Amino acid sequence: MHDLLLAALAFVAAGTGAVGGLGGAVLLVPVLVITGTSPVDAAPLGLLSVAAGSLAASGHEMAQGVIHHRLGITTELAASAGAFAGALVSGAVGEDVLARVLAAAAIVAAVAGGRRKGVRNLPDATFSGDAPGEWPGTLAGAYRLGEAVVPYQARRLGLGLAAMGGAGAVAGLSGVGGGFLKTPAMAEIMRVPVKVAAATTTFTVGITAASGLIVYATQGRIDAKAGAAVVAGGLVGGRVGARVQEHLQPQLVRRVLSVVLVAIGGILLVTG
Amino acid sequence: MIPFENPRHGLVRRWSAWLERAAVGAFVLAAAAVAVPGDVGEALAVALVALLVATPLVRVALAAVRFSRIGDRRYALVATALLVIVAAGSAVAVVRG
Repeated sequence: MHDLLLAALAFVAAGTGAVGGLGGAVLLVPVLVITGTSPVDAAPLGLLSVAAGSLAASGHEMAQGVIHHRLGITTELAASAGAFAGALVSGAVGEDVLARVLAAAAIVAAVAGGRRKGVRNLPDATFSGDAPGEWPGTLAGAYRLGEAVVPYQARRLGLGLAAMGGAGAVAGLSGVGGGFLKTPAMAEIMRVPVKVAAATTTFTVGITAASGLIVYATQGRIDAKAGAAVVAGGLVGGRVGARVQEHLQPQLVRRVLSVVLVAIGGILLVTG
Repeated sequence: MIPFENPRHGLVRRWSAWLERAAVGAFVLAAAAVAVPGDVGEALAVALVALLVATPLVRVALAAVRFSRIGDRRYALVATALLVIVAAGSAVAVVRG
C-alpha cells in the first residue's frame, strides 16, 4: 500500500482515537486487512498508529490537566494482567468467536454511553479558583469545562478494575490496544468524566502499544518503512484529535464515541 | 501533606513540554524515514519505533519516582508494579516466540 494512503488512514484512526480515547488500532487494522494487507503485517502497524496517537495527544492533554496518571496506571495494571492472561490462551479461541465478542462489547459500550443524557459530573463553584489536575494520593481530581472547574472521583473501583482486566484480556487475545473498551469502562462504570476517561485511556494505550511493539520487534514483524508512514499520519491525527476534543462538550464526545463504537462493532462483525 | 499537582505546576509544564518535543522529534524521524532510501532510512525507522516504545514506559518510571518523592507511596508502588508486569509479559512473550 502506498505510504501516503497509509499515512492518511493512520491520520483518521489516530484522530478519531484521540477524540474518544479509543486508541485507533481497532479502526485501522480491519481497514488495512480489507484493503489487502495481511493480518500479520497489519497488527504491528495498528499498534504503531496507537503509539503515535498517544504520544501526539499527551503533551497537550497533560497541560490541560485531563490525564489522571494515578487512575491510568491503576487501571492499566489490571488491563496488563488481563492482557498477559489473554495472550497466554490466545491460541484456544477461534478468530470468529473473538470478533463477535469484540463486536458485542463495542456495541454494548456504545449503547451504555449513548443512552445517558446530560452530564453526570457537574461544575462546582468551590473549585473555581483552582487549576485542574489530579489530586495526589487519590483517584480524584478536577478538570476545566469552559470557564468552570468540575471535580470528579473514580467510583466502583473493584468493578472498574474487573472491567479493565476483561478489556485487557480481550486486547491480549485480539492484539489490539483495547482503548475502545477501556474508555467506556472508565466513563460509564467508574463514573469518570468522559473527557478525562478519553485522555487517560489515550495515555494508557500508549503503554499497551509499547508492550506489544516490543514483542513484534523481537519477532521481526515490524515493517519499519511502512510503520514510519503510519506514525507520521498518526502523530498529526492524534494532535488534531486532542485539539478537537478540548473544544467539544462532554455529551458530544459521548455521542461521537457511541457512533464510532457502533461502526467498530459493524466492522468487526463483517471482517470476523 | 502531599503537595497539589496541577498544570500550572512547573513539573507538569516541563513534562508536557518534553512530550511535545518528543512528538515533534518522532514526526521528523518518521518523515525522514519515509523520504530517505536504503539502510539510513531503515535505521531512522528503527530509531522511531524505539522512541515510541520508550516514551510511555519512561513516563511511568518518572511517575513512580515523582510519586515516591512526594510521599505518595501507594501509587509509586502501583507504577512500579505496572513496569514489572510489562517487563515480565514482554519477556515471556519473547521467550515463547
